[in-house]
Amino acid sequence: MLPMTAVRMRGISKRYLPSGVHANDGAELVVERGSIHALVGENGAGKTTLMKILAGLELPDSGDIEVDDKPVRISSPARARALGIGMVHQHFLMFDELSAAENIFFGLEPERRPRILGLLGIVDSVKLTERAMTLAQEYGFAVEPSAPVGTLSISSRQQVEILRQLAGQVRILILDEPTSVLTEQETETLFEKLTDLRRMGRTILLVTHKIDEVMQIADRVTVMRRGKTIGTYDTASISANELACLIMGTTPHGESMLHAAPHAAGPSVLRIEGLSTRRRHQGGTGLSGLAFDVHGGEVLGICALSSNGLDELEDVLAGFLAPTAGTCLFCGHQFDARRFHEYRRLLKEGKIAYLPSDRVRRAVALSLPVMDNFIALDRRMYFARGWIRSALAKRATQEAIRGFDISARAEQTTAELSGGNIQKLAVARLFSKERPELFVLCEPTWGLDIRSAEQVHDRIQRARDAGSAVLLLSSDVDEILRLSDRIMVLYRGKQVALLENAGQVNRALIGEYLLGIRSA
Amino acid sequence: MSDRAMIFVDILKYTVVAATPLLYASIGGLFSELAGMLNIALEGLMGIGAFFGMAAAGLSHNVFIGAVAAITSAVAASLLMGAVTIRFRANVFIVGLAINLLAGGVTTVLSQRWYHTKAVVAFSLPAPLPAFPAALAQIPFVGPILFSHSVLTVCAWLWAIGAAFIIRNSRHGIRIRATGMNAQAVSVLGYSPDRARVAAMIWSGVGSGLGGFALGLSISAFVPNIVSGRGWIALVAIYLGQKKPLWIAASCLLFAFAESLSNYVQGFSSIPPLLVLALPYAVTLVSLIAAGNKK
Amino acid sequence: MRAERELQSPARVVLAVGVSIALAAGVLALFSQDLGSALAQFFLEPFSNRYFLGNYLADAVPLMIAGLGVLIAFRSKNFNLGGEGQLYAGALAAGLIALRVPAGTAPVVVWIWVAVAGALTGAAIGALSGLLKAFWRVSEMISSFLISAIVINVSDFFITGPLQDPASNFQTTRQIVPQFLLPRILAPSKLDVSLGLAIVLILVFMVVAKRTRVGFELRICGENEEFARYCGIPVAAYQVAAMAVSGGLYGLAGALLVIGPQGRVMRGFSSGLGWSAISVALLAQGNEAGVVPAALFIAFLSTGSDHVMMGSGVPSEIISILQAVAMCFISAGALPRFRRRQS
Repeated sequence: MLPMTAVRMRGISKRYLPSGVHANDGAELVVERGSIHALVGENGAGKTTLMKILAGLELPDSGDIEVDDKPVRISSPARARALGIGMVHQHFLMFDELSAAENIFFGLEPERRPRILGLLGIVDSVKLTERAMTLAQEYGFAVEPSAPVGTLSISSRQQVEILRQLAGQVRILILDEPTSVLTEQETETLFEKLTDLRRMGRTILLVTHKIDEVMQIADRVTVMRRGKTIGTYDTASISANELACLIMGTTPHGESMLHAAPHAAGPSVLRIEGLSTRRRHQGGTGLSGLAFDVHGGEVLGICALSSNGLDELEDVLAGFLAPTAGTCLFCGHQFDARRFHEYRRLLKEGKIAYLPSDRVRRAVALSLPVMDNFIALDRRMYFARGWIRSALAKRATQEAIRGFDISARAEQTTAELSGGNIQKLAVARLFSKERPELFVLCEPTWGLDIRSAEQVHDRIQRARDAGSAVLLLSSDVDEILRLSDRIMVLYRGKQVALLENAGQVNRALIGEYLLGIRSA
Repeated sequence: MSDRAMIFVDILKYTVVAATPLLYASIGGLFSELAGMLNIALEGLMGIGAFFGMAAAGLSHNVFIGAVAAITSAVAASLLMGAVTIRFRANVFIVGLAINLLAGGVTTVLSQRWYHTKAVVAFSLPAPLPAFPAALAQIPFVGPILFSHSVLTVCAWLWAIGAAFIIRNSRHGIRIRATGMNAQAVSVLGYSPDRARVAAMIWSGVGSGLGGFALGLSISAFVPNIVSGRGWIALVAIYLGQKKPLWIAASCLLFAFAESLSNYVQGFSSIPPLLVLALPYAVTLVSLIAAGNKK
Repeated sequence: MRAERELQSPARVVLAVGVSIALAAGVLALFSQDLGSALAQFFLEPFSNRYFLGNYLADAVPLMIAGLGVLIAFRSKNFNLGGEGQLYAGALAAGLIALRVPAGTAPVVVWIWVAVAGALTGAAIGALSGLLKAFWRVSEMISSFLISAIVINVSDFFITGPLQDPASNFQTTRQIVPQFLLPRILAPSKLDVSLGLAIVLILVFMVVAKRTRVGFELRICGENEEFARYCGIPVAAYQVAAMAVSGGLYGLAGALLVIGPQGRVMRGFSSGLGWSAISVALLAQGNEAGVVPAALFIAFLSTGSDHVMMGSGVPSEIISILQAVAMCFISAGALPRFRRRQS
């Protein structure tokens, strides 16, 4: 008879170097056998890290793990597998050109005997397909075993991933935000399967930030915040609103954040209607029919949790992803999705200033000196008739370094800077330009310490007060509430709210929109 | 048979002969391509195979021993390449270039040491073993084109078919393809992508070694620069065949046809031979552009 | 995780240079009867008199120019493997002009025409690969190699056909009249004033890279393409331009050889130069100033090999082996620690 507790994790801590951020800080987790256990929290709360530790993909700095009441050390994914633990990742680990059956039984393919020269095992493809069929039928999955997985829909690919774990005799199945890429119908189907699996005695750990799903399917739920586990609750004895408050760290009738004084909004700078896109990559969410506008002297905050379309919106606003539909009206000049190059020209001319969220890949060239990165955006100013104005460039860089308190030297290689300092460099660069009509700022304070974040917030407010329009794309609710005059929330690629940031709007309310338990 | 038909048969017959080295090398290169490493050293590996294969065959007066030596030497070089790229984390293209240079240097230096010449080294070898009964080769048209070939040429086709089977149907082949598609997933699932890459390099060595040897046998000699670009053409055949063995074989035949045609035209027409020599490369380049997807 | 030691750029250069010299000495020890004199021939003879020194420097000049070209291509993350053909085509264009020009033309005018024609011919060929990559996604490595193979055959046709010198037993064009050849320095060696041009070019490219907007934008394209797009830099244009410049410098190197040491266009005279230039660029580690010592080093290896061949029966192709070893070490990102096995 197996013990009642499937997994017990105690005092798990994990720090990522070199940033030194605590992804897990003494996290505790107890999971009962044969239950569906949800793990919830905001972006960056440490859910995925904790699950990666359980699946052998990360080693904890400290803490103990017990599986079936026996202390274990999970040093590799193979070790986790041997213990019956498997994880379905948010980005599938798929081999696109291999068939579903080959993906499911990767490394466990049935072989014909004898091997050629005793070495080369030929896969018995008939048996392989049969086994895949049997496995799929056993768990009620409808997967075509011989189709290359690259041709399958996202939900079928996910089923292949789950079947792969089941084929490996997994008893504890971890799913990392499995529904973020699914339609509602597909989500329903997935949940039926998960309920079936629970009936068959499997233990399921579900990482998510969608509360409605937790309430619908999970037996118990553990809330995480800033690397710590806040508590574990029976879903039968907690309400969705209470759970939302626990996740967001507020009380149900919480105070609204102090928002900077209202202002008189100027003329419309950017108006977008019917904006739709395809998904940016396989884990993404396409946008459908967004419509919003932003005025001079106004901050429009756009908030979403990961995989709800914020990345796609950023790429459109950055000129990297051409939308499939939509019209844009910029300072009286109108064009539609087919003439997206006109939008790109606005960026190039400096009428729109954009701050990327992915600072390392998009915002800097790490191998170049700080000064080169600083002057790269505004080359018209720092090069006169093609020649560099090095004195000016150096002075401007040093001023920015002083003004934003960046610990760097102008001639230092950017790769040597910490993530926070790189971010400050990118922000400083943007605000040193001539005043643009529109700022598009994506996760401007992600990873910054409190003082630097204050500084950046102050700059954003000054830019707004000087008459620029600001689009603030952020998954940090506090930041959105603090800076925005109006707030838009995206959920599954659609806008579910567009509110004035006034009295009744608070963290709990935004949380409900973000987590999908309230919609407009 | 009329003269014109004779010429036609000759061109097609030589097409099959010229396709042999290309087929060996490109199918070998396919393995490393599938494992995610573009092997630009096929050219050099073929040269190494040609030199050591011919040297061993000449010494032993035995073609089989020559083939073994060709394989062994080319595999040794490809393992060296694999070691430097994987263990020392060097750039695979630069190491590929280095292997090409190394091959040219080693074969010439040794040719000078052993045969005291840097030019043509002719070998007297036993006559190539015909793969089919002589009667078959007498069939008009089809006989000379299909059934007049040596065992080595027939083996090239068996090699392609065998490789196709291994790539599609063996655990080993699946592992190699998976590494090229998603190496990270392979290692998360508990297998070593590096091992698959090394194995793929070995396959590359076997194929290009035999390809080089076939080239040497076809002229019963070794000359520096005997490969003269065929390794690169074999590489293009992999692209043009879209990494599918059957289509790669078809591409090899196409390039071999261009070579065969240029050989013929050199002898029998007023077009200057040097211009005609450019034909196989031109065909290769045009087909590469045709296969490339326009932005 | 595998235990390994990161290799920094200076360490790589030292390792590559050291190992290839050690290997050269090792090969000499294996093959020559009299090691002492072979070593002396390899390492000292190139510097032993004015004639040898001049010839050694003359060998380094085309390596400097072509190596600079490879470096520019590398900087935009392009591999130009068509150097042999670009060099050859540049040489042929130069030969055509120098042989056809009326005898009374001022030599300076001829030199300028020859240099410009050589550079433009090489540039056109290089740009073709750049365009194929930018618009058809054809790998520039393979296309440049294939184009080069075609160009070599076509050039060979001209050299041995319409331009063949009827009086010569070699496959070559006629001699270029002496007044159109570049003035020599360090006579009687082959060294001529193109050494000065090579140095000037390297200085110009250094200034362009460090001080101008074009150099700045090219560097950003090569270092991080996504960042370059964020900055609004036309990435594709820079890639084509870099391939064109790279081919142009190869073509120029070929043209200068024709009106310099060669004095005519001979079939196959470029053999290996295109590849050696790649070693030079690798050794220079992305730094224009590094091209000079790198070219001197590679030319030293090849001159040394030539001297040894004359003396002790080791063929000069040993240079390829030495270069190959140097390339492997220069490209190595890390040294595995052999003592501790995988954990």
